[in-house]
Amino acid sequence: MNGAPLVEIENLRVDFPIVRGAERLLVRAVRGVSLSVARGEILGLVGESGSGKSVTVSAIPGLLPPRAVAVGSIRFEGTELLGRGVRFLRAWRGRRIGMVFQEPGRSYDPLQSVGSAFLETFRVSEPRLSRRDSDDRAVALLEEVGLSSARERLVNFPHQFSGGQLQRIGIALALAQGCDLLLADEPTTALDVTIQAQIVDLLRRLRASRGIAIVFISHNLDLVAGIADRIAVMYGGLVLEEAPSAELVSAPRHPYAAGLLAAAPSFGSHWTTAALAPIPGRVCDPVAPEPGCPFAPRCSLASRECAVAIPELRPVAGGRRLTRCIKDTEYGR
Amino acid sequence: MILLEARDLAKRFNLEAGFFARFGKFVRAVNGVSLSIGEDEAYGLVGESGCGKSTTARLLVRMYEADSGAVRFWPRGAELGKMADDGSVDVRALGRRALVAYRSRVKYVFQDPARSLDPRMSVADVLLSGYRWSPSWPGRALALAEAAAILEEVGLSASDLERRPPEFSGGQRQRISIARALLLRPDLLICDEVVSALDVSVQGQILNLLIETRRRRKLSILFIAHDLKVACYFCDRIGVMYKGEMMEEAPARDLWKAALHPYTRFLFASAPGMDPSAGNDRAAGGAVTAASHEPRTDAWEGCAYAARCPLADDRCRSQRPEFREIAPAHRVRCHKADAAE
Repeated sequence: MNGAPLVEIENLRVDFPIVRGAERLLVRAVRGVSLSVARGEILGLVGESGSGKSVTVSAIPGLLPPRAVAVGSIRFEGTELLGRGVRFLRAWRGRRIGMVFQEPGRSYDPLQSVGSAFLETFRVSEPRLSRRDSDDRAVALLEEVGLSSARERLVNFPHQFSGGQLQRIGIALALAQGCDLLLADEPTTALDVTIQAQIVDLLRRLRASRGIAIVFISHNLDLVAGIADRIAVMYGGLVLEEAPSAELVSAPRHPYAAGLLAAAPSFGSHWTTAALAPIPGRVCDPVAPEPGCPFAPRCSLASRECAVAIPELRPVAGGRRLTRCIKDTEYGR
Repeated sequence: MILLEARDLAKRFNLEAGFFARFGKFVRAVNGVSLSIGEDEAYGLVGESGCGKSTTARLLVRMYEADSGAVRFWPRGAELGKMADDGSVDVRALGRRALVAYRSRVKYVFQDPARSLDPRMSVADVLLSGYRWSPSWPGRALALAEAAAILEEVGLSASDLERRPPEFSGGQRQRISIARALLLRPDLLICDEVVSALDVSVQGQILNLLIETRRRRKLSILFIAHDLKVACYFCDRIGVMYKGEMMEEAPARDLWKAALHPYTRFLFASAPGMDPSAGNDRAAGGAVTAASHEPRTDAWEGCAYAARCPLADDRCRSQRPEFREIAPAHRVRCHKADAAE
């Protein structure tokens, strides 16, 4: 967490033109997101479905679908990545920026053995690498991510592994070219809690041993609080609050973050003694976003000025944290 | 008062499927599960995927037929055919018409509201299509009035009867599923992961709806969940399953700190947001190896968890522990439950 940020996103906006029936619509997936990740830092991105967290992160290595219109700026160590062609981005994808996807079962070619997947990955940067050298390096990586009897398993195909094992292999593949930034898009959502805990431990260990930066996306605030140094809470394509993990969970400053915490039960609470306080209404529609604060229609504190313009993301608590709310409320927990 | 009781339920599936399947290799999906659900009680079933919790629920409504074991149901005023001396009926022996009547007393709500509602049917048809075949069908006009009332009860409006499921959001669709189940005034609702597919803010709305409904209708609920926090919050008692067996059963409220079985302790220690100082050590659960996820195929003699358990010894590997009561309403299937304190 020293010096210049590794990656810096500035005022990113992503729109998807879609056709619904006879109408041409614009889905405003991301509406001005600024984030930065320092070397060796774990940034958590939390939000409900449709909040724009996955779109923001897949814009970094340029993995948005071709019809997406992205403006703003994404700089990796000062180099602008947004709007560059595939040939240019190949030097960054994999080598500098690794990615782990949500469903381990669906992110592999079922007809390719694990050893061959590693060979293909290594040959992107070293076209003359032999199969034997590739296997040696694959085994070292698989042992690093905690897959047992790695050498025997190189000949296995994806269906011969469990979900947790596939996710370990996915992390090993993302690290294969020695990336500095690992983007993990809901890497544990499809896994059982016991396996989830192991993957989270693994990511934390890799951060310590390799000094990589990680962006960890999840809809589970408790899970993110356990791994990330800093959390950004997204809603309606905007970052509504950004703070160090412990502070965000113990004392949220934005009504949405406070609402998310109050809506989920915690250990020790029971329906007979404590009622849940769910957030009323439904998640905002990215086709017709609110002119003002996206959370205003569901917010208990909302007044007329909330619906006029999108509030600024402004620093509070001595600049350590940011909140996008015109009413600065402190919530205890 | 007990509403439904299952004793020693077992179900095995053939490991291979299709025309060329060989027989003889089986997965023991449910292996001797006993549970009882009281009147006005919410019973939770938790465990990892593949542990048999959904299969158990499906055996209770005979969506699958059990290989062995018994299911007894105490109908409240309804006529379900031949009753035993204690007023119960044997669910596994019900004939076709009695089974239809039984299934209107015990209703099933599915996980994914997007896939369990026909997109081409109107909400009115969705609600009434099951009701039509129940013995209490009052005729379409009266049934529509009831359907409108039930929609209001679950937080939608009567005018929604004309709309179709795709017009609704995920949370609203789950309300429709719940309304469909409640329309027949069941005694027991089986909720199979009903909030797992929903966003956190909407999940709270559905949980509150179920709690209100319970209070108003004195409804019993079998609640299947993989989210331990939700299960502990919503249920009165919880059964923890592993590889088709019930490992621990205890009051839900304090299970997170009162768990005695090494597997339950491991499960809770893995949950995000669990305070590591609560005494549940994740290391105590042992490593998850490839073998620990293999389904149980053969007649293993010992404890189902022995391969993974850090406390396991020769006795655990050779002798299956009894499901014994260790404290009031707290049962554990472990030789070493006392040692695990």
